Amino acid sequence: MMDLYQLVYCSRNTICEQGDHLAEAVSAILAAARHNNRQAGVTGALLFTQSWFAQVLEGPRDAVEATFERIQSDMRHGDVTVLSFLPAGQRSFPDWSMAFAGEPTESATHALDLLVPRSSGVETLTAAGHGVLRLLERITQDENTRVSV
Amino acid sequence: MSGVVEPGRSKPAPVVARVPADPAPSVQPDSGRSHEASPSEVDLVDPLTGLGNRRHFNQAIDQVLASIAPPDRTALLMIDLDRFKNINDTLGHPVGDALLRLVTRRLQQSTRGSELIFRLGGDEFAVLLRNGVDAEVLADRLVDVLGRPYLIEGQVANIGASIGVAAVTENDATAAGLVRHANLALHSAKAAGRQRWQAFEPVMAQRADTRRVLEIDLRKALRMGEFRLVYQAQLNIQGRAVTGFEALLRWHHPIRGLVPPDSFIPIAEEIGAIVAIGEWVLRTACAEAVKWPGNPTIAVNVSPLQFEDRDRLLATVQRALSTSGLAPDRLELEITESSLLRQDRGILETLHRLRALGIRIAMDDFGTGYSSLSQLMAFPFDKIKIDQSFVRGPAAGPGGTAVVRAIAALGASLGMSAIAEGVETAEQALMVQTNGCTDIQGYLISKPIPGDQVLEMLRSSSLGTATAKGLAS
Repeated sequence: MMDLYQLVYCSRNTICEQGDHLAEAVSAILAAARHNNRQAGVTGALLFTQSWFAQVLEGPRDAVEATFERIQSDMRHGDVTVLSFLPAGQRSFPDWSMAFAGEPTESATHALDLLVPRSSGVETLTAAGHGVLRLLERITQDENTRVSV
Repeated sequence: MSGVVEPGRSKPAPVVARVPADPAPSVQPDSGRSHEASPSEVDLVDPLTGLGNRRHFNQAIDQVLASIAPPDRTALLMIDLDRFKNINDTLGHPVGDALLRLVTRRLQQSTRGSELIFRLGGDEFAVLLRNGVDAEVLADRLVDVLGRPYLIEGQVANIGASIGVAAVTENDATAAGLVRHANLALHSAKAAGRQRWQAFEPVMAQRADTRRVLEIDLRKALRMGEFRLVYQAQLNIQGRAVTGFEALLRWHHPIRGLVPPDSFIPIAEEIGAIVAIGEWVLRTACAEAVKWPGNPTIAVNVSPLQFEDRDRLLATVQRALSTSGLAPDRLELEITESSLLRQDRGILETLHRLRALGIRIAMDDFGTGYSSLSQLMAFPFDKIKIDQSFVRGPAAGPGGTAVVRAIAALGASLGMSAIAEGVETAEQALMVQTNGCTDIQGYLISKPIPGDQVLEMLRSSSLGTATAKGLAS
């Protein structure tokens, strides 16, 4: 596909801070994301922990930008950091309007907490973006093959 | 930030429904002005974002204030984007324009719909709140949401927002007062480090008034002859003799009395008055020093701002020398590290041209700023002035001593003399001497004194013996 872009970002999960129920809030987020993404030709994956969200969005550049922009008015997260936003040769999650990494396992939670960058250098961010992408690919792969992480 | 909205360059966005569809009839664009030519809506709309423009803002704020009761339910948020100019410069104006539209979208999505949103120009926005919307909650949310990343044409743009919040009070329900208060709060938010909001506090207005009056007085102080120079002696340790003086500026205000330099020099820098003041200092110091016996040097501080017009600085120095008849090698210009940081290459050339006149150049306050080795290597300074904080005060002690030793050694190896400032006791004099300083300045030698007392000091020979007590032989 022409003009295919892949975005990796992370943000702080503020759902619990606001006293909302985490599982309900996340399923609402997922339902809205899947609905919107299908129409926009966007695919991707979402992982969350008590503290963080990490998300990959991929698709036509305009559609990824519009999807990201819509998410920015959402107060259920904060401290949004774009880890990478680059042209991509192919999609990592072609079959998922929004793959969801399920109830986060302890190892995935731990891995994500480690990946969330503490500094803002471009190389650090890109490396963290790469790490988040690999983590999400691995988890969704495992979900597909019913092998637990 | 200018040039972002060039009429006709950007495709005009359709007029956003919120402007004409506003529920309050009092802010309809053409209401209440029937004696004038009715301005068309286009005159009230910012073509780039579709928001109301400054003119609409001015009308709306007047009308809202006239129509509300009680007035304390109304508040104004003044919003400035941080680093927007940087985005315009690096990613280009089309990306800057797209960014302003996204900011507009986020403003609209973060508000409930009863708020009025305006783009006042450049990267300035305003939100007028009515009917008890909590201004501080909204400000908090806007700092968060507007500070999140933006994706535009394949690029990531990171900006922030600073916000000033002011509420209408019983005492001041005028449009001008509300706008002024919100702007003062905005200024305070920026001064506190940006990407935050600040609510107006009465002390901000008091501070601004004080500052404004001080500024007015400062602008005329030179003309009124309120400045004086005092001179502080510099002692050469080896020769046990006063070999130079530093000229220090004093402002004797007719009512305030002596105004401390720390409280007026930064303002003089900010309003540009420091250039004319600096020229007066140069002329006066040269004219005074030429009367002194024994050919001591006279050190004069030069503001970073004076280096910005290099031809003017060079002409001023030449004229001060020729008018007074002072030998050029008796004049020493003290420059700060911030002067060097501001312009790098241009300033080195200026320093070389000043040096070519035969005058001396000293690096002032060394150790307090970046203290970069490369800056000392970039120009052959005659002298390094070691900041007084290493001699006395909290930074003194073993750490301060190590810094003094390192700078003095560095100076010695680069062929520069090292003078310690702020020497007040014999112990401090001994410390800087044993750690390699060649000269000392401070109350131990002499406090800053008027020019006529300098003459007396130089004529009497008592000084050398008085101060030599503090020095090891």
